[in-house]
Amino acid sequence: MKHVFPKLVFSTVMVLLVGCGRSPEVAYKLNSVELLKQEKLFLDNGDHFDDSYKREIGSILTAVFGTPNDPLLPVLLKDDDPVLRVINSQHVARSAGPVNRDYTQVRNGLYRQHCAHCHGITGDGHGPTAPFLNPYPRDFRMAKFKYKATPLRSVPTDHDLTDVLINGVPGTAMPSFRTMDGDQIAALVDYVKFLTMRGQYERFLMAELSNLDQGEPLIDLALAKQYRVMLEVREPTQQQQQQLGQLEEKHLDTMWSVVGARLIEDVIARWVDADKNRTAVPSAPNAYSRDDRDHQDFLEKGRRLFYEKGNCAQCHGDTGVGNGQLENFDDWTNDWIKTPGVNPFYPNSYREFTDAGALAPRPIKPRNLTEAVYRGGGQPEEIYLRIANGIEGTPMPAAPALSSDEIWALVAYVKALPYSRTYHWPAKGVNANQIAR
Amino acid sequence: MNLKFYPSIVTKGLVLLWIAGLIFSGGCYRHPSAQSLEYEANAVQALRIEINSINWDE
Repeated sequence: MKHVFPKLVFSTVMVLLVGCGRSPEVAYKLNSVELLKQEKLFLDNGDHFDDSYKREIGSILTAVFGTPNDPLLPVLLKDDDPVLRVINSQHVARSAGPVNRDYTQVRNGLYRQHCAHCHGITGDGHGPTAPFLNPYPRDFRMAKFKYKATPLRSVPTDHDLTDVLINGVPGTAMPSFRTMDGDQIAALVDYVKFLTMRGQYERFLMAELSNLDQGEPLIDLALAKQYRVMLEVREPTQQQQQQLGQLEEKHLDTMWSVVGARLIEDVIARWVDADKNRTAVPSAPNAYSRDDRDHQDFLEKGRRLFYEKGNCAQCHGDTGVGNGQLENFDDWTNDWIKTPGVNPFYPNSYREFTDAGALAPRPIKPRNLTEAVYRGGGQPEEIYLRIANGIEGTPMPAAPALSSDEIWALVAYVKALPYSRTYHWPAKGVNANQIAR
Repeated sequence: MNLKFYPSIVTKGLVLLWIAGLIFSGGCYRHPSAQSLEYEANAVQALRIEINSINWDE
C-alpha cells in the first residue's frame, strides 16, 4: 500500500497523456446552424428535415470539394474553367492537408498549422479557441469579408486577403503572418477562397431543402441511373426515345439547378475578375496635408460631416469613442438571430442554436476612433475605402452621397481624433469659431 | 532538507478527482458543434460520375 498513491497518480497521468481513444479523422463539419435556421423558417414548429438530407448534402459537398485531406477543385467547365483562374489547385493541396514537409522540404498543411485552431477546419470561424476570442474569428462560409478594396456585396481581391494575412487585424487575435514567404501566403489565400466557396455552396444546398417535399432528394441518383441505363439501349423504340428525352430533361434540369447554376454562376463567377471591382482612391487634396494653410478648415469640414451629412456620430458617438450604438449585431450573427423566436439578449431563446454550433451572440461595437487602432489598416487610403464603401457584414454603410473631397475631409478628421486634445474641439457642435487655432 | 510529501486521504481523493475531471472535461470533451459531415462513399462516387459526364459548357 505504501506506494499506491504515486503509482495511481502516475498511471492516471499516463492515461491522460494518451487520451481517451483514437483521434477521429479530420473532417469538414456540417453547417448545423444553417440547417436549424432553415428548419425553423420553413417547417412546422419543432419539425426537422429528414436525416437523409445531412448525408446527401455531405455526399454532394464531398463529390464537389473533397475532404480536408484530399480537397478537390469544383472543375465543371472543360475549357477555361473559371475556378482555375481563381484558385491554384496546388495551393489548395498545400494548405489543406496534414502538417508536414515534403521531400523538397516544402511545408504543407499550412492552414491546419496556422489557421484552423481559430477559423476551424471548415472555415466556420469555430475552431477550438474561437469561443474565447473577442471578436470571434471570421466564418468564411458567408463569403463576406470586412477589409477589402471592393464595394459591398463584392468578394475581396487576392491583394485584400494577402494584406490581412501580412498585416493581421490590429486590435483582434488575428496576428500578422509577415514571416511567411509569398508562396505560403498565396497558398493560404487560395485555400480561404476554397473554403469560402465550399461554405457558400453548402448554404445554397440547405436553402434548396425548403423547395423539396420531405424525403425527395436534391439529386435523384435513381433517376440518374435510369437515365444512364436508357442511354445504353441500342436501337431504342419510339417510346423508349420519348422516355429517354423526358429523363434527360429532368435529370439535366436538376443537375443544373443544384450543381451547375449554383456553383458556376452564384459561387465561383463572383471571384473571377474581382480586381475589376476595386474602388479607385483619388489623391488627397492639398488641404489634407497638415502643412497646408487650409488644413484647419479642412479638419473643421470633416468634423461637420462627422456630425451632420456623414452621420458618423450616430454609431461612433459624439466624441468618437464608439458609444453611439451598442445593440447592433454583425451579419454573421444576424444571419441566425433573426430567426423567429430568437432574442440575442436571452440565452434560453437561442440555446438550440448554440448547441448546434453557433457562438453566443455579441453585439458589434462601433470602432473607438480615439484609440488610433484601425482593424482594416490605418493608412489614409484604407480609411478612405472604408468610409466610401462601408464595411461588409457590419452596420457601417457605404457613403455614396459623399464626394471624394468630403470623404478625405472625414479621413483627416478621423485621423486627428486620437489627438483631439491638441485641437480643443468642443464635445459636440459645428461652430468653427469655437475651435482654437 | 526533508521534502517528503505525505498527503492525507482527503488530499489524495481531491487530486484523483481533479485528474478525473481533467480527463472527462478535456480529453473526452467534444463540442456539440463538432458534427462531422456524413457522406456515403457510393453516393459520392455516383455523383462524381454524373457531374463529370455532363457537358457544362453547353
